[in-house]
Amino acid sequence: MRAQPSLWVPGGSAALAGGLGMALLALGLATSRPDVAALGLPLVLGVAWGWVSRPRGPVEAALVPGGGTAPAGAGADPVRAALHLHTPPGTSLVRLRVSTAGYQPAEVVLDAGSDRQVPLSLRTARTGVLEAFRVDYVPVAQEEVLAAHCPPLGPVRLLVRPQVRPLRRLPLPFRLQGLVGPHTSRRVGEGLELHDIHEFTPGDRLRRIDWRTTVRRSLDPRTGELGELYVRRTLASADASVMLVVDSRDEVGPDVDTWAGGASTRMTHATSLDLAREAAASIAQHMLHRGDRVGLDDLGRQRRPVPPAAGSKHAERIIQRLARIAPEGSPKPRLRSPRLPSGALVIIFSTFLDDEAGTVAALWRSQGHRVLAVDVLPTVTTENMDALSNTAYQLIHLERGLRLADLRRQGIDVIHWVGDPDGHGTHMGAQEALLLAARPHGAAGARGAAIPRGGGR
Amino acid sequence: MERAGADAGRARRFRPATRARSWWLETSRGPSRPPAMGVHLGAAVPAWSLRAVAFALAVAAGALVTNSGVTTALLVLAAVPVAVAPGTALPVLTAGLIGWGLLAGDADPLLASVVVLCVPAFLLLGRLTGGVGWQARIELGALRRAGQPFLVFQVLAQVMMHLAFVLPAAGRGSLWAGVAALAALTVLTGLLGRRLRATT
Repeated sequence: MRAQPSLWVPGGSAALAGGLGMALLALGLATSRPDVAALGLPLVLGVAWGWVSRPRGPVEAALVPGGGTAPAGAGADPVRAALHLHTPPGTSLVRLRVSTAGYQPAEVVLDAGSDRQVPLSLRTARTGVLEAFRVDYVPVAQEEVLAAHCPPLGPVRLLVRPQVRPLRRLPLPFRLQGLVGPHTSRRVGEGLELHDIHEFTPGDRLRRIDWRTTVRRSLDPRTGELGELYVRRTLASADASVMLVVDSRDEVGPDVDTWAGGASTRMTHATSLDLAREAAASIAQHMLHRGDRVGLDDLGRQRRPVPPAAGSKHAERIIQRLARIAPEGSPKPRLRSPRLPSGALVIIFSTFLDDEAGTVAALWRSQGHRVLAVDVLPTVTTENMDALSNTAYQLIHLERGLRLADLRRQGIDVIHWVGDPDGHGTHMGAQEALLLAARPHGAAGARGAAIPRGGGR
Repeated sequence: MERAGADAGRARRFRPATRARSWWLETSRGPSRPPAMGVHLGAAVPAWSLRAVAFALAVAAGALVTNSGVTTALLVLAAVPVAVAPGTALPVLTAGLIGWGLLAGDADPLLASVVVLCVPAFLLLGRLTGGVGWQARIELGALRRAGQPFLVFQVLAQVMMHLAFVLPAAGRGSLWAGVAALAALTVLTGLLGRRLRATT
């Protein structure tokens, strides 16, 4: 981002100081008082020097986003940008004011004797698109004889990527699909794990014949002839389709007092959408690293979803889309639930503060999908609330509890990403809850779950 | 129904303890400060410290040129804008008042040396801290760059002043030479002002 050319204008205080200096000089001479004249002399000389050495060229400034894609978190690297300043000779200093919504503005006075590069940074718990670092600057000549009027720079749009948490194991869909993949399905087919020894049938590959079993079972010792041939049948390998559905219709912070919109959440506090991004990015990264196919849809926007696919480039695509998910006004309620690949594991990330996400999750569950509901409500605080607001929140809290209980009753695994955000969660972390849900006979969706090979990652 | 109505009435009743507690909670917590951003500079000093130094210089200069308590108090009062509003015309006005005080008193080379040092110094610090707030940081490099010409002009002014005090009066001729120099300076300043307006 580059600024328009600057316009140098006379500084008001220099003219006043020069005028005072002239007056003192005149008074000193008129009254034969060298001390009074000497008091005016530096002021006059200063203005004269400032004029002689005045800058004669434009000031050029550019704001460059740099390293602004750091993951969020308390100990994480900050979001960065750099301000490049090119000042003409004669410029003495630059007054700088850097502001970002939600932060204290920073004011500095820089030495502008040569070209400068000023690194800017901030720490945030937020992810996604962040508009930061609006820079207002005023270059000033010696003795403030001239000051440049420059248009402000920025703010720059920085993409703060969600942090990816390492996960140990994740649940699989009820039915695995495809002919190749990291998992072992329950079908007989091409794979590594032995299913059984079976009589040879037309269509079986010759290299599958198990000669030892054939000799042991069907060799006639009298004639030396073989009877039936036996083949080793294996369990087919397969991959899993996972659809991540992020509910971007609302974004709430930990402080319940900000939910109504009167106050904004602090930039050092992660909102529900930040947690949703983090959870979705972690799960997507884990699944894609394992070789599964992952897609992404947004419950708040009726736009084309990211179709399920695999690979490292697809991981980047998912994270980029996740980082750009944001609430948009009041979205229309969906008439139909988003279409999903058959047999996909659906993971829905929502605060479940209203019925929509739960309704869609229940619908998918009734269609035979395995559904995981990831509750991304941050740990709430109700300190700043008055009695009426607290009563209203208690009602919302109770409704949310009923909603989550209803989901569990319908066979949907509910995972609380922050453990226990508001008393409806558990003391387990997300990692433990996911491990529990991933057990073959664990949690609600254990019926007919696929067998993970090698214990998962 | 009556029972419910009575309960509601009791709930609406004024409860000073509850009100006081909620007022205390609201006021004691106060608005939390938003987090700060990082602007990475070289060594820097906070603007409030320079404002404090400027104020001290103005007070010192004011105290030196006055000899009564009332005028000293007035000049200390006039020095307040040097710290509070350094970017305005008020510090220049303060400098003018100090100059007037110097003119009104007796000529003393030592006292004048301090005043000649203090007044341009607090004007310089006022220029540095003028466009920014109390919390701003001033890079030491900026202070050094602005300080170099200041020191040169100080040396020049001090030397000239002490020479003028030491050398014997040269009669009416020197006065006319001074008036001519002043006129030349005035014409030069006027020309510079016109060029300035024409350029910008």
